[in-house]
Amino acid sequence: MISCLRLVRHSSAFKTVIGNESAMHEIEIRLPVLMQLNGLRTSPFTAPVKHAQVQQEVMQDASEIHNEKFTKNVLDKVNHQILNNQCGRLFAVVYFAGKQKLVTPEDLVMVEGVFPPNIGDKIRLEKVMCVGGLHFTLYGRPLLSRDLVNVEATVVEKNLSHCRVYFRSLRRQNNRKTKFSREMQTLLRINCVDIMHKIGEIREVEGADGRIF
Amino acid sequence: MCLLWNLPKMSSRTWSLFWGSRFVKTPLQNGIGRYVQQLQRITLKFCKTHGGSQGMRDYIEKELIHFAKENPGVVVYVKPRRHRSPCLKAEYLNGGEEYISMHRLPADDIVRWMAYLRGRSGYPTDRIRKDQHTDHPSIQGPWTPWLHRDPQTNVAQYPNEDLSCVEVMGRSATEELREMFKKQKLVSSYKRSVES
Repeated sequence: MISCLRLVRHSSAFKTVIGNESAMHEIEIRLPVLMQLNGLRTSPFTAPVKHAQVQQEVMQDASEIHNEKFTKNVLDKVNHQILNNQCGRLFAVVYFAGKQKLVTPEDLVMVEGVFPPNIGDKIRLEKVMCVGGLHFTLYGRPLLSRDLVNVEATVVEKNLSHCRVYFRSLRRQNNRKTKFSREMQTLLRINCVDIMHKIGEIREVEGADGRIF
Repeated sequence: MCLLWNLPKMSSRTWSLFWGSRFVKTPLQNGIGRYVQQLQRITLKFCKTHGGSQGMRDYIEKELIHFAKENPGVVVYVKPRRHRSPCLKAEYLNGGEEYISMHRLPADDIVRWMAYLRGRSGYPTDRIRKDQHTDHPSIQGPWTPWLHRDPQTNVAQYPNEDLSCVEVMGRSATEELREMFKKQKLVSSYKRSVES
């Protein structure tokens, strides 16, 4: 601190700012007091703290182990049913033509509006949200893998609906409009709902082509 | 159609009630195993001279051969008759019939009406009450208020304070999904920052 002040004092800039020799002399007389104060302040430099090196150990949560066991148990049971064909009748929730439909084999499903497939065509419903049997249900988030579930349907009928009358009128306004419309209705027969492979495993190869989700 | 125009005040609901309604069905379990075409015979009636049959004559000259080739299971009759307006008459496997007048219609329209008759099953057109039919309405059993309930409620003494208090619900699936999405976002943003 002292050396610092002295340095400042001898520089010409200090003289021009302060410009008073007697005042600077007074400061020099008081310096010992400043020195005493200086010892009370924390030193500007502190040595870096050296921590002892700690080897981290991964501890598995007991409840996690329990959960894993439980999951494996459930998956094994479901896989056993799938492999031995013991699921019974399966149902699926299919996202189709803007609607979710719960279907099971031999169901009839009607689609209203424009629908290109022709009568006799077989189509595959690919957006499957959920599949289940008597004892289990598999949910997709939001969809199940295309390889996992196979839902097929046949177009059985293409028809026009009955004539719908859209009539509106304003009273005492001489304003009335009548419209008639017949929408296209397509009837689908669900042929099969199948689970194609075991669950809870990562497949080596998955068909990824032509997927639009 | 003339009947329709005479009754403009009838609401669509009244109209539907008037015509009757049904549930979706197909004749003879069609589509299970294989699909069987329901249209069996189709008769095209027309006049060789009148202008009202012009479209029908064009259709027979240009398009009918394609229809017959594409539908080998359908018998096509062409029946000229003098000074009568043209029509289509379709007969189906279940005994259903449909007659449509083709008076003064161009050939394009007749193509569409033929496709319509081809796709039908033969049942009369009614209002459809439900868009789905199943013979197996429930696979895991119908829901009851006691589904997934603790069986101790059967033996508990009522009134019961514990059982009648408000149930504390856990986190919903939506909340959990939201949290997963947030975490994913955090991870992806972190990765991006690391890459940049």
